[in-house]
Amino acid sequence: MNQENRIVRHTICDICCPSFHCGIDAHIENGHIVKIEGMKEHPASHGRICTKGLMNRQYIYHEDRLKTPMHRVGPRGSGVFEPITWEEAYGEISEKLLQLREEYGPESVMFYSGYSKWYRPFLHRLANRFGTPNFGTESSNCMFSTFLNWLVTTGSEMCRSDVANSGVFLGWAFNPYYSRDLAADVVERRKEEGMKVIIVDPRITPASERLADIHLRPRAGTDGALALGLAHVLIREHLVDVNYIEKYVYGYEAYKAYVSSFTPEKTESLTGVPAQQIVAAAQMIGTNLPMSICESAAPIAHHENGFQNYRAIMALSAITGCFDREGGQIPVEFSYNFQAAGLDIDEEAFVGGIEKKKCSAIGHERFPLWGDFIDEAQTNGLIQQLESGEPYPIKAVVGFGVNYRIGPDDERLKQALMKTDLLVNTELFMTDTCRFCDIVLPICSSFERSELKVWPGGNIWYTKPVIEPLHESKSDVQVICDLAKHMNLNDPLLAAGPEMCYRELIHKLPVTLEELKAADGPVKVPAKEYVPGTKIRQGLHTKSGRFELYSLAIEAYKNPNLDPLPTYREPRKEQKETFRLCSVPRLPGTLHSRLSRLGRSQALYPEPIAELHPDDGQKFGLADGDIIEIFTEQASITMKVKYTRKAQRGSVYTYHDFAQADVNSLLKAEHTDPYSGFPAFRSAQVQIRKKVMG
Amino acid sequence: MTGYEIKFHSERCVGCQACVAACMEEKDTSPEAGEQPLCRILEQENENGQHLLSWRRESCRHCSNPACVKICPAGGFQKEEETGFVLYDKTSCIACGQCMEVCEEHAISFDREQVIQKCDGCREQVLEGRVPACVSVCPWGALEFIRN
Repeated sequence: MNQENRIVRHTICDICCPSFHCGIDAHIENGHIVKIEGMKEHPASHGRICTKGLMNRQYIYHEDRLKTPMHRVGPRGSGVFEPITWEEAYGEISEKLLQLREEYGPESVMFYSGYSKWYRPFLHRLANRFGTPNFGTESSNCMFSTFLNWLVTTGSEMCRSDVANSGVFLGWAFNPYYSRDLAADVVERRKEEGMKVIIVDPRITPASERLADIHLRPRAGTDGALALGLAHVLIREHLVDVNYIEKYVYGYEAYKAYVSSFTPEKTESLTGVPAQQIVAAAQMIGTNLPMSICESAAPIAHHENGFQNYRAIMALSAITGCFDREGGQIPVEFSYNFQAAGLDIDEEAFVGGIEKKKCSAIGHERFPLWGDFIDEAQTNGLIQQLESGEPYPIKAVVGFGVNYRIGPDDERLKQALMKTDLLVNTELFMTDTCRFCDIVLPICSSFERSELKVWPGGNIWYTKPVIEPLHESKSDVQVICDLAKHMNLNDPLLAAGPEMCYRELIHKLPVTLEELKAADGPVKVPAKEYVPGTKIRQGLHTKSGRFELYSLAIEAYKNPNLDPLPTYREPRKEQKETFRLCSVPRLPGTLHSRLSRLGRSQALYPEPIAELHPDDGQKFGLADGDIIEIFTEQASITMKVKYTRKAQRGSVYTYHDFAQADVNSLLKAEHTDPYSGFPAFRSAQVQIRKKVMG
Repeated sequence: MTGYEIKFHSERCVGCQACVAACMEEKDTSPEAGEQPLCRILEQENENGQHLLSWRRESCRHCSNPACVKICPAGGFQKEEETGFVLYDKTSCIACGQCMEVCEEHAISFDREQVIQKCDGCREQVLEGRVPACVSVCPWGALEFIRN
């Protein structure tokens, strides 16, 4: 390799979660990335690059990268496409969307974002300007149930766990060794300094083995009962903060009365966690305050009772006086795109709203709590609306990185989508979703574009492409701006292009886009630092002005399915010989289907496996390595059994990534949490049998 | 002993396989062309002892008395005195496979051209004063590079 020719330029990885986007050193020779490493100077990642990030080069240069916009020529789903120009693509999309708007109303068009989030403020603005309330995203399945909890109970969107100042850390669904690895550092350090750690996880993990002073293993879906059981002991042993409760908490008496039945013995029968462990954990919490709790986006939410379980867990923060206190759960204010940096970026003004919204968004009638608090469609109402046309028909879906396999009963969604008038998707590859679309637009990776990104501590970066976009691919925000222009949406800012939009977004900051561009990494700008306790003292944006253990917003519905208290409802009764399907715990080297076509990812995870405890395996006559079918009345998938004593008895664990073993096909679309609309991915009931070969 | 050592601290390993990914990135391993990574992390479950989970790393140990050096009929392997790395000459490989059979670490495999490949200690980087890719990347401090 010719080292003299080589330069190193900086960019970010966009494989996993927006709270990371770790800095990357891209080694470039002749306009080509020859190697990648972590970026040491990055204020958040400090040079770290993980198993997934290391696959970026294979991802970017994969031979399947879409080269041009594509237009379907065969029947939908045939996968037969012909290349067209961007102008032709924009022309057709614009014409069709405007036609549909004219005939069926703007609400008939849905703008739908898959997992990548970086362009969402732009897409939401586009949807608003178009006039449709149907801006929906992957957050209908991840993160927003957590936001909903905080909005409903405290009027703030989100909290961060102030582990650096905690005496005890309640790591509920916490395993940074496989996901969100940057979160491990502060916990490990504090543990060495004497902080107590309780890990709650049905499985044995590196976190439970390395970090836990106490490891609680509730049965899948029973977390809420466990949280209420812990509250019971805290109250019984006078370990709650009565002064704090009196000043800042609403509904304590009703909550206390409800929790009184969750004795350690009753909680043990509900959860499988031994009574004396519940007592010991509660005592460990109560005598080592302040307590912080792991905030999690998915595992607790992915149950039919997930939203309520999360409320029950965070109620522990309120009753111990740890909400909005140092060492506890500290409310954050997002600066831009779900990142709290203490910067005044007016995203809300940029996104705007619809002047005269006459229709409720998809899923809002089905999930009223979501509808009242979240300014997005709940996409788990999409199947039903597509099929029935009620309350109004959906005629077009314009997707950005959409994967139809994201939710339960995905084949049903695919069939329903295929009946619309127009399907568009932006993607890097011709995925199975793209295959049944009408127009597919080639998009580029984070290495090939500019984007605005912020990190805590006033760090802001306007990245530059380290290589030219491959083939004819464009960045998502470029496409959004171009579409706004082509459709004449009377939005001069979007039509002016991404840079003008970014200038507008940052105009209140004491730094210009030119200054950001001149830097080859994050720039530190004076940031507002939040002082813990400010919000509770000022009064929260809830009806009572307090942390609501009893939610007045939920009470107002007078809906017997929606409880104002964080009540516990048991997961559906277990029948004989069924397993709880947990899909999916995280793996360190892959995410969703993002890396599945890469040979290097396949080298790490070669085939779909189903993990079972050996005791369960033996009971059902299944040997390690047997080929099995996991089935429900709806569908059946084939996998290989792997015995592991990490597993909890009674559960079977599967992982992302394998289209040939599509776990979501097993689940019913109606198997959702009535509060949040989230699918119950982690507690469906399935049966298992050995596959009969031949 | 002179030379360098890549030391694996199994108690720090969590099985994330970042080292494997880093090795593939460094050496441009192509599984599509039938190539295996040059190292492996294998999860084990323990019967006795404190922890259920532990991980084993299979990779070239650059042995002091390498079996591959002794067995290769083409004399393709050589333990380099300066670094201590066991290096190999692709051009002399006749693909007999004997080295693969005797290596206890299963550290040798065929590359896309059907000649052998194995860890070379990231020799070029090391001589420039840097550390092997696997050591550089490990997020958990399970790999240490020792210069004797």
